[in-house]
Amino acid sequence: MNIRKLITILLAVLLTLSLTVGSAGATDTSAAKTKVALLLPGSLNDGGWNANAYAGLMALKDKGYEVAFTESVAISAIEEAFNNYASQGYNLIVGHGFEFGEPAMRVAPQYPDVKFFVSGKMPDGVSVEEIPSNLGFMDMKEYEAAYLAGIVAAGITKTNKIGYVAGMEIPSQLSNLAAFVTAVNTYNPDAKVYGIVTGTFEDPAKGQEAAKAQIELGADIIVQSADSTGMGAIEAAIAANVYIIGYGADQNELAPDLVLTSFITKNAEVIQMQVERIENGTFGGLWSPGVAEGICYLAPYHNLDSVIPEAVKANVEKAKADILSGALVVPAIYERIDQILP
Amino acid sequence: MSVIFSEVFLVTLLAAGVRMAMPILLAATGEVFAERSGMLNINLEGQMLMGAFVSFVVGYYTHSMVLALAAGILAGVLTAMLMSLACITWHAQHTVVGITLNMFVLGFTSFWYRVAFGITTSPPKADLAGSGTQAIPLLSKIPLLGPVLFNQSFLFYAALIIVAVSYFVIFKTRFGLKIRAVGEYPRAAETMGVNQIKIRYISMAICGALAGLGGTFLSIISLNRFVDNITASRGFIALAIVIFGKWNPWLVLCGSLFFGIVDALQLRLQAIGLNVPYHLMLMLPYALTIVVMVFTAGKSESPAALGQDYEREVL
Repeated sequence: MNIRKLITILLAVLLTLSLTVGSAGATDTSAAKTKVALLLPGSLNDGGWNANAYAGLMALKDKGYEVAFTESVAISAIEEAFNNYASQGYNLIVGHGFEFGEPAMRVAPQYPDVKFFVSGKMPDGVSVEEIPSNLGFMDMKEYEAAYLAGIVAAGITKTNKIGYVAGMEIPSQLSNLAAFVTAVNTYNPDAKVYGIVTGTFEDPAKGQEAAKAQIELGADIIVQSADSTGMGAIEAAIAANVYIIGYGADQNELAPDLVLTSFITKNAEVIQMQVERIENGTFGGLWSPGVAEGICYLAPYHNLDSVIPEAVKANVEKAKADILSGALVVPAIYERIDQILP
Repeated sequence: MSVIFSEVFLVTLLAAGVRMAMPILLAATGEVFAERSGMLNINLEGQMLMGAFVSFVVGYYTHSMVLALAAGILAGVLTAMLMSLACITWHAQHTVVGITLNMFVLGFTSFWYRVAFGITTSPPKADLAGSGTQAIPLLSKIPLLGPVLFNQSFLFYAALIIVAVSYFVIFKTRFGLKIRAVGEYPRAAETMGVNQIKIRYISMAICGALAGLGGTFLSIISLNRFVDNITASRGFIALAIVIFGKWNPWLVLCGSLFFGIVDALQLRLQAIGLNVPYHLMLMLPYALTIVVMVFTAGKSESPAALGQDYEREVL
């Protein structure tokens, strides 16, 4: 065998190895159990959206379900990943994000015995009636929690300038930003939100510079909703000693004296609930949980409880109660409303 | 709107532009060496990522900036040596090896990060002395220039020296002449007694070292953490900047700063709410780079033997 062939083979092996890193399967012999596969758009280590979903999957594994996952699934590779798990006999395949919706619409009809779940709203132009019976969507009202976070920020800011670092330009990110701005405008009309959509969930250096730019413009609170990118935003806020509102998980640990609260979606629970829904036969269609269902919420204020004025806390509780009773409907706005010249 | 024309806005913009240019500048300067010697080093991204990862791990456990930097540089060199071994000694195709190694490094770093630190919502931090920016007394107080040039990381000054030295080495020394000769016409160089294998290995080592250093800027200088794929395609931007800079370190410096400043401007214009579509803002740095490349393009000055394998004739 000549040396070129050897290299080619070596490279092929390397390539295969590097691709399989990050997908793992755990085998369980109890064949009757539901097999669950999770496709993540980003890295497990983002401390938010993906990490939380992974925690849900691990909770299922502890209950004896057979689970598998693939992380950082590129948009171009989603359909293939769905096909792959479906043909391997998985019963539930979760695509964790809006970008999984379109491929799921194409793949689901080919595997009527497999359940597909997308943690995101339906693709544009798809109505509820068109959803295949083995496919479920979740239009999480994450923006309701973002609205609550906006009330906190509006009440805390001294400079009346708030920086908001968003991730990729997807509906949930835009509606979070818009709901946040709506709350700030309602509770503190003098305050201005400096919003930056970074276009990525995976570039902390960019998030750091985005937050620095906002701080240099006078922002005294940094809000992030951008997973790994947001990690950089938090770092910039720590360096400048300004308050932070986290996202995806209770991020208080990252800076106990600066993280006011975090707005969170219960991804771990959501994924476990899908298995229950399959078992009770209620799976499928469009499901829109929010603050009222307890799926989206604000983290506790921890150390900073004393910093937040009672009136602000009362406003948050009032808004929560109004959402529950239906007296307040947080608008779902899927465009930028913060871009008006000062 | 008036805020855009204020001095503070301009100063913070330029300072941020310099920071954002740093990792790209270091890697692109390294790539000039590699490409001048004929090596199409698509693996630049991987070398940066490896540097970022290894420097973080070493910094986290030893708390030493010096050791962390050294480890990051060494990691970049070793990754570059893998590429060199495959492409120079074993004559594999540069692009194929480069892309494969990039994927390998991405998997390798993500995997070993998890082994070392697990999956957590509060990732570990390496607070090393000398991370972030340092204001130089007096000098940093100079209006306008002070905050831009004298409130930067120490690596910024190192990078300026590296650019100057790189230009001198490539264009004014015998060694540089050999590098260029090997990149233009390896057979002629060999006939004149230049060991092209040695020259290409050394050029790749220099490239790996600078790419690794660029990676350390991301992990231990600015973020103090490592996250998967922290380089986020900056290695590929650097590849474009090398073409933009016509394989000349000074022009590469200009290209990197241009890209950094436009990216910083994009963030600021979005933040103050300039009422233009922000999709346009997001692509601004990339679009402007292409526009400038189109208008400055003259005769292509790419090394003639770039990406070409050279096999010695053995009698």
